[in-house]
Amino acid sequence: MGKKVSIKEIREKYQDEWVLLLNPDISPETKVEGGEVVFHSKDRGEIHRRLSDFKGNKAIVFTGKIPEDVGVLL
Amino acid sequence: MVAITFDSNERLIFLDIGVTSFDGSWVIYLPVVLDTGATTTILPADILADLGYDPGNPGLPRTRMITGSGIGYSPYITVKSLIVGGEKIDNVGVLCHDLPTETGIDGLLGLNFLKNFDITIEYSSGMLHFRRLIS
Repeated sequence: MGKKVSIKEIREKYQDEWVLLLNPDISPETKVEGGEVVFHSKDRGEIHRRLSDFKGNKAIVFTGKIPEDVGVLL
Repeated sequence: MVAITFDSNERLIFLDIGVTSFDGSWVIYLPVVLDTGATTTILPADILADLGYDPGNPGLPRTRMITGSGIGYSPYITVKSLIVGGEKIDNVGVLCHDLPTETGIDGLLGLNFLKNFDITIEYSSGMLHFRRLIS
């Protein structure tokens, strides 16, 4: 098992990136609180393509924010 | 009643949800937006495929999807369960569709999931309250 890292550390270390965690720590309210960082990228597609390399519970985290000058209509 | 914190300074309501694998033995947690304007929950095909579902199956029903930018058709899959705020709902229908990466999310939590709850959004405290309607 790799070293677990808190979500705070992940957000500081991998800014504006997509991060794939193995064996994530999940709070009772289903928030990702940390896990083993197994892959990170600016490209979400790369994260998706690497999913099958890792077996077991996983989590995907995005550490960026939607730019202030961008509106979103979903 | 479940209480979930959210960042009320963000312009969307971001949540982490869990999606159970096809065989029910493991879960992927991913970021979504709570979307009361979406009839159906949306998840990316790549993630559903990794979970053991078959979003590429040409025999799947395809649902007409009306969005702000037009009309498209997406495969419709029923996932074993979705987990939000520690509450698990079984057999939830999802549309397989990739949202633009710039949104910073992997999917939308739509009304077909949310209708299982009475939901209160408290912007003053940054809290969501989910009260389950069915067990």
